[in-house]
Amino acid sequence: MTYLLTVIIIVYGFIIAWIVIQIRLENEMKIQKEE
Amino acid sequence: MSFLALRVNKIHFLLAAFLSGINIFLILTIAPQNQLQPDFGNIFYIHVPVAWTAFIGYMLVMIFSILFLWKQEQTWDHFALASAEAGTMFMFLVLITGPIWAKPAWGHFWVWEPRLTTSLVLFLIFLGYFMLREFGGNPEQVSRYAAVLGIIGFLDVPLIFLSVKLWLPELQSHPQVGQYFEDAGIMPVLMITYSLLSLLVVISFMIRFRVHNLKRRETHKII
Repeated sequence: MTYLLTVIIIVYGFIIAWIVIQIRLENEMKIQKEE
Repeated sequence: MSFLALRVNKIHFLLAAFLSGINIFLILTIAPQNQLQPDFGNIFYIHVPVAWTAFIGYMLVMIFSILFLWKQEQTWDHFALASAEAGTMFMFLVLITGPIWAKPAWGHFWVWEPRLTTSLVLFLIFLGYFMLREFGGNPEQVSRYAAVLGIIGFLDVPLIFLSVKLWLPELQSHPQVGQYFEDAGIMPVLMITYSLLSLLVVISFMIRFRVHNLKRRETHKII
């Protein structure tokens, strides 16, 4: 079960973190552009 | 308008969150287990769809690269780059989840067997693709070279799929194609995971495309 939970956490954690970072990056670039 | 302000993206996110809940619940509770691999065998329900999703990402790279070489429109090049990034993110997860399953199943995190090696080669080809994009020099030339590399890189995908047949059986650690799918009960869970990951790869692709578009506009403004 430990192996399975590790995989679930890694996969979901990684994908969520990646998407959140990209959304923030996009917002950041938009703000810079407006300035 | 920001990415999340668009209605279609919000719907994507809600659907992805809903499917994620169902997905985790099914994998932990209902999904049929492989008798030889209790618990950790269920990693299969994530590992395999993640690999399929990565291959879809790379297939898109090939399609967009062909369209770019054919039509010579920069948008196709940006599409190809965004797909390559989304595909590589999933390929990275394949290479992480595989060894976590391999440790209890085979006793080793990594074995140099055909499918693992060809998967690693695919990942490295696309690392090369990003290096070419970053350090290749003249942007027009780089786009053309990257398109060719994207098309050639995709040729490794069928090789990964067929690697269990192409190399000698004594070299194989992976099961043969279709061996896992004999049990019809596993398909619904696999399909739910696959739909969820497909949604996530589309979201990743769209947002990377938007970021590239913003960067391009910024560069044009500076020039």
